[in-house]
Amino acid sequence: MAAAEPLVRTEGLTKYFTSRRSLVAKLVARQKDRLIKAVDDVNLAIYPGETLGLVGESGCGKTTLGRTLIKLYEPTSGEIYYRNQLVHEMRGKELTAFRKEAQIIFQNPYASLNPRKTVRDIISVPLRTRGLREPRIIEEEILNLLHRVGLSPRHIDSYPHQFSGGQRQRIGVARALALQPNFIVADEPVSALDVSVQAQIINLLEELQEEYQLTYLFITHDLSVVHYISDRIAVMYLGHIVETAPTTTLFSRPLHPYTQALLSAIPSVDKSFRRKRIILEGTVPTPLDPPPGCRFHTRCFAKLGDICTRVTPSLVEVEKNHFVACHHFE
Amino acid sequence: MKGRSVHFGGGGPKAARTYLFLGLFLIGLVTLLSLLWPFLSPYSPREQALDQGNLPPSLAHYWGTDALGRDLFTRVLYGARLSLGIALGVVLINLALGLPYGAVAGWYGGRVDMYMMGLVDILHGVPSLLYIIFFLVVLGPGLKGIFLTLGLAYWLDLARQVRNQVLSFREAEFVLAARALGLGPVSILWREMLPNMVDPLLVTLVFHIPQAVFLEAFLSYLGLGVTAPRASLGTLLAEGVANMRSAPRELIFPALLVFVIMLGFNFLGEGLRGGGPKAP
Repeated sequence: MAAAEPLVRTEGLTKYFTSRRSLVAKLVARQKDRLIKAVDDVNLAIYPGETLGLVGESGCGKTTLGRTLIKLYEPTSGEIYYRNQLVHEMRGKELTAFRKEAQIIFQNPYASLNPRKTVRDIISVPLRTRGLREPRIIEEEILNLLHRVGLSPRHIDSYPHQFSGGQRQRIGVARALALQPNFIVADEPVSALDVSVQAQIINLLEELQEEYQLTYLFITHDLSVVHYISDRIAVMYLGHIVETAPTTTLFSRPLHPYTQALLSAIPSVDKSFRRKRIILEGTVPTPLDPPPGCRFHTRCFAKLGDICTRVTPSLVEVEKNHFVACHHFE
Repeated sequence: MKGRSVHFGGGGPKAARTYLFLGLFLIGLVTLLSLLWPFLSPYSPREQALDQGNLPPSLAHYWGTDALGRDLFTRVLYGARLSLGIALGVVLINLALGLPYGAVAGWYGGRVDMYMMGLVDILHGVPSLLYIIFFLVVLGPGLKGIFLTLGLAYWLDLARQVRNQVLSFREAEFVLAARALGLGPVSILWREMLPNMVDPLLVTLVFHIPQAVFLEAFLSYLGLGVTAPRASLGTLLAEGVANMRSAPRELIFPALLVFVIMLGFNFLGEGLRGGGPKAP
């Protein structure tokens, strides 16, 4: 898998949001606009046909990273390549072509579907983007898609509020699928669903991946979900990628202290599998003023000392395909 | 001098439904009468019959005649048609100006939004009567001036409302999804956002109509609006006031119609606000 050319690749990808101060605060208190460093210097490669799981706690920048990858946000700096084409410089026709290739499934199926549109309206938008015009063909294609995601044809003229959460997410999947994409950013697609429904949606996503050779960036904070679906995992903390490794490697030999702490939090029924619980002190610092040096040093239990607070560690390959950003391994 | 809309408020969806039907009934009645008056009355609203001046109500003249012998019933309905036409015009100008202005400000946000909404705030700060009179003085009294000034007076609220809605929808996931699907700003605004804004916008517009009708009546009353021999409810009221002592009915009947129109639209707005159809 790693031998192939990556489908999506980022180099030093950075996305800052500006938190503006009021004019009064600027003039009187001499405060400046502050930067929210949501995604900071991320180097990531996603290979064709794989599922890359992106894990991290709320607010670490996972969603921003996913949305920036498919050009819903403009990056502050750095590069995104899709099949070696620069994504953030795409305009016009190129961009339309890219939109057909890269799609997104959202976390909240209650917010991602327009409440005023029927399923037919919702799914016919991407079909028209694809160039279908004839209403009869569009309807046929919608029915195919509904069937493929496990919805009944009689749902075609229903509104989103008439569906359950799981069904809505299926509509979201059908909409993304309608463009016949290669790459799908699945942004916590199951976090808002019941556990039983989660399994159905995940299985659906896996079937679709096999059928259409899809590549997923699967964003989640649920480690058991990511363990199940991912081929590789990237761990994110406060805008930085701190560790990437194949799933089995990451779960058996987590190297970064943050990853170790995360994994120790997975509840397990079997006593022999229980890891020693690592309790982290404090909370995640705000990305408004992220700590200098290693972003994790304020909560790290294995701090080396001064170097951690001053120098930002970069990702190094510790073993094959296993990268970690920690001064322990530099 | 905007006619502040009275609030009948409260009462839940059932009361709202009642308001809705009452409003529709009153407006429908007035609209029908004002369109069908040629069939209901044999008289012309303009032609004078000086020998028949100031007749009291009778079977020949339901509401009597004015000093120049014109049938009051006919005149009032004719005037109502003009007032309703002005109301409709105001709504259209409102939409044509407020909708795109607010949409642009909300969509681009940031500095564009700041300047565009700053302008709206400034215009809002100037008493509307001041620049309405200014416009009418420049353009001269007449229908054109009335349409223009009323349109300009009321689009600010709508622009603000549209801007707020667009701003709040801009980060909604269904809008992000539409962008990911490759839709452009105009399609997103028109096809994705607008259907979600219809309800609140409709309420605002419906509450604007009685204000506009009232303002037109007021301006015409002052002699700034519709000029003789045309009649609007405002000019009729003005004539009525002049003859208030000798023939109070000349004031009472046009006033009654203004009252019914205002009540009808306020009921309608209340009905739409409270219990109107939510998501389809």
